[in-house]
Amino acid sequence: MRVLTILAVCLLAGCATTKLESKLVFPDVPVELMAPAEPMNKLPDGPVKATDALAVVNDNYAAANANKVRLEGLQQWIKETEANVKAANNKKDANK
Amino acid sequence: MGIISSITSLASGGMSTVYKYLAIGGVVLALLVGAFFYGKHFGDEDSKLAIANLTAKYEKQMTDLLGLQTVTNTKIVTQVVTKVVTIHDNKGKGDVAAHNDTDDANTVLSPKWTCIHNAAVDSSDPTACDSLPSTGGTQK
Repeated sequence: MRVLTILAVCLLAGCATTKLESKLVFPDVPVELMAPAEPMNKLPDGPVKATDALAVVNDNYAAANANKVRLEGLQQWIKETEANVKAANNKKDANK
Repeated sequence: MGIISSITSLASGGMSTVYKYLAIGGVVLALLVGAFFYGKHFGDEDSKLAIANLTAKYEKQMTDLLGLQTVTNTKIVTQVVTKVVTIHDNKGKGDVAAHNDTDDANTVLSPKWTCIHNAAVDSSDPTACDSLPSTGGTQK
């Protein structure tokens, strides 16, 4: 009986299968969404005219708005990509 | 009498006890090795098939994912680039408008005003500007 048990174990070891799982690779983020944040500018030292200050403020708001738009786009991309990966994985599970 | 016992008695007939055990061991070992390779052979075949199926499924899923992802990328990148281009266009118009603001062209901001602005730019402590003059002026 012991020998038969050992034989069975050997047979099972030979037939043993490893559960293989494939995980989908997370897609690359588009370079447009990974652009570095636009910097903001300081006013120069010394007397600053109101019009020059206004131009700098205008530029800084533009930089901040561009950064905001990129951040929102990146967040939207992450949400949609996560949904796409889940959809593809669910489809894979359904195909099993 | 079982098959194993029959084989071992056949293999060890007429031998001393030591040889008998050696013969039994040899038979058992041969059976174990044979069983292992017999099982392994079928295991290998099944594995190859399973891996091939899995690879095909994986490639199909990656293709599906890339299809979905292309739509997402195109949509979001288009939205972002369009908005950023508009922001930069309007920034240029704002710069022109600021320099055309002739009524304020000669107004000079106070050092305190400038200092507080610059503190806001890099999020530093604006109270460091408290000691600066808060009077501006005009410049021609």
